[in-house]
Amino acid sequence: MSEVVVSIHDLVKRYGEKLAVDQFSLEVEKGEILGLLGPNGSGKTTTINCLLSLLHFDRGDIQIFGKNMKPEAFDLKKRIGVVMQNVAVVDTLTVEENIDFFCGLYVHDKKERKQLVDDAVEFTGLSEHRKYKPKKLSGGLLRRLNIACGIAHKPELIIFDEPTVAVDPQSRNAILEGIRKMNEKGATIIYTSHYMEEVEELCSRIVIMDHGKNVVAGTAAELKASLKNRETIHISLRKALTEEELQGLREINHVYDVRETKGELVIRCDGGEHNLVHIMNYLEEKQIHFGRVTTELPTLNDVFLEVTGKELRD
Amino acid sequence: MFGHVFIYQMKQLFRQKWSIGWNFCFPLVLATVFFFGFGNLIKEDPDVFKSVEVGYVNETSQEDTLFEQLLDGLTEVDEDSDRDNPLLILHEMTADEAEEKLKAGEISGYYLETTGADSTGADSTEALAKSSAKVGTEAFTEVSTASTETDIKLKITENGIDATILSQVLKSYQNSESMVKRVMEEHPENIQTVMDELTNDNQDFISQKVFNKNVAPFVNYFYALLAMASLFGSWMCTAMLQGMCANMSERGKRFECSPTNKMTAVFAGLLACTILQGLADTIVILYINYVLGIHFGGNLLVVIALSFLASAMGISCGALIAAICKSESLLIGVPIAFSMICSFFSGLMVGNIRAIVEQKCPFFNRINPAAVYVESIYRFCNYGADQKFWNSVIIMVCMTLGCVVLSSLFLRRRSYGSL
Repeated sequence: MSEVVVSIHDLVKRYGEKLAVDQFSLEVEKGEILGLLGPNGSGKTTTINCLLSLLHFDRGDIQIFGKNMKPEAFDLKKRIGVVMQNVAVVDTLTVEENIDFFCGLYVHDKKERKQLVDDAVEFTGLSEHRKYKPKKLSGGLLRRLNIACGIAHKPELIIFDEPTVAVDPQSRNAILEGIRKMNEKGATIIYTSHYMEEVEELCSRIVIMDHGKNVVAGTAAELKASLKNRETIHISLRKALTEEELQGLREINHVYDVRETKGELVIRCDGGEHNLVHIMNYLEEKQIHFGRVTTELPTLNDVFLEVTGKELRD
Repeated sequence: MFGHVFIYQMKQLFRQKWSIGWNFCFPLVLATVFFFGFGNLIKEDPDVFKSVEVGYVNETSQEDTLFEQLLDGLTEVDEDSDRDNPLLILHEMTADEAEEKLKAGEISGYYLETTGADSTGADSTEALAKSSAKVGTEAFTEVSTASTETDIKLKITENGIDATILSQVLKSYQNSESMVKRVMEEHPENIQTVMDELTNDNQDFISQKVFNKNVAPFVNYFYALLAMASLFGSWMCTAMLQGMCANMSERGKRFECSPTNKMTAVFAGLLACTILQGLADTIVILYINYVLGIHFGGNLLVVIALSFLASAMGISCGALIAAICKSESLLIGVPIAFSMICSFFSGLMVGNIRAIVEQKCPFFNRINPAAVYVESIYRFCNYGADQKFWNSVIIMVCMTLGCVVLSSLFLRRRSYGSL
């Protein structure tokens, strides 16, 4: 059985009357990259702040590495790295000094720290910018510096709170690649985001949060498999279909929803293979002329839409 | 850990442009403005060395008392002095005339010498203590000294440099009187020499104490300027604490996620701020003293030491502000308002405001850190390390410790209700 690194049980956090986290439970195993996905205001950051003991909570239990997490649990904090949602660096210090300053809060030995700083600079690709002040860095480089400050002490558990917000695609890819490398080196990672694509790409397991609750959890494949809709086919039509033709489409095996809007036919299937072939055969048989045909597999947004009834980025 | 945080706080603060601007440069600029505003009056304007118009009422049976001889000596221009006018212009008159001229403002005060009652040495000491204590910022009307031969009373209408001079003359006379009497009894042939020396000594004493050291009302503005500079340390402190508290900044969150004892880090930061602010104040003091040539009148090292204490006080006040205020905008606005209001009431803009407050609401002068600091320098530079000086120092130490303890209680909390 794998070692549980983080265990949150029945966490409740209120801001006055507002329930920010509602009986949220979660377990993260060693070596995992857990994606915490949810729209803005769903309670992700509050959960992370409770996990880090920055916020005190109303109810529940949080354990990290098998021990209760408390504000003064310095032995646990030493093993945790945090990359905040907003860039948290010191403007007046250079890249190197920033990393050394924050790393020095964890590692007291100067020699060891120097090596760690060098590694972090190398790892985040900031070698050419060591002597730069943050103001001279681009947005992407600044994010990398933010990451370097959080991970320089080589923590076993790293929490990334939406690290790619407002980052260009190139820098985003570099950041995701870096996180993957850290995980390969043995770090357990909790990654919060409202970008489902990157969570899907990066995370070995995903928890979707909404209204402070754990709505659904599993691997990306498991989540998608839990959907009724497994395939969506879009067909552009030259002319409108008759009700009889639409009914014929609905009777094809695995097709459960057929809609025609503005010259486009949208067909949803609940599983099965070769759905597209069966539909094409039917259209040819009925001599229905059609144009472009596309097919979509379900996304995490579909999962979110199905379990919460709203778009992820609303 | 303490050293690591301390070094990085020093680096951060040294590189802050606003810190260099407000904590280092602004006081220098303001000192220069003050200097050109009235600094030259202190240095060059003969009016500043205007002789003190003083009345003398002799109601003793003697025609030429020792005290009168001393006063006569002070009406002559000292050859060694760079002044062209004497310290005193003496007007002999009756008590009624003196009272009239005092009310009309024609004289700054008058000495009334009467035949002595059966005063004892203890009375004399008490009277002197009264005389000494009443000179300074407090309003007073009458000080006196007494000897076995005569009683001498000094009556003045308002506080200020003239009052200081007249009081110093009286005090100086009292200190020397016993020696003169001893010579008269034991070596009457040497009495003229002693009187000459006494006059010269008094000239020197007064000149050194009062004029050459520029102890003029204008210098109070420079004291208040130093107080303002020290209280500017409160901004430095709020900025420093902003980076250590999770409820104030993202950097604070990162800091509080680390396995660092917050209070150790806070104290390292406070020390860094105090040293930096103390250095800034030292530069201002040296600039005023050596570049502008305005001497404070006391031992410069003690003035610098006082500025370090005042810096610690300003910074601890900043810590308390940061501990109480949660809004980021308040962390800028409150220290600014605090520094400026306290400095205003210590005499930064209106020279005699501290004396007015002392009359109307003396308690405010005891709790206004800028006023306490100004009082401490004023006392030290004018009267040395007297009781009032030590009182001010003790108040500053108590304020510093009180603010540090209170802010520690607020800041030590390591988790928050909301962020």
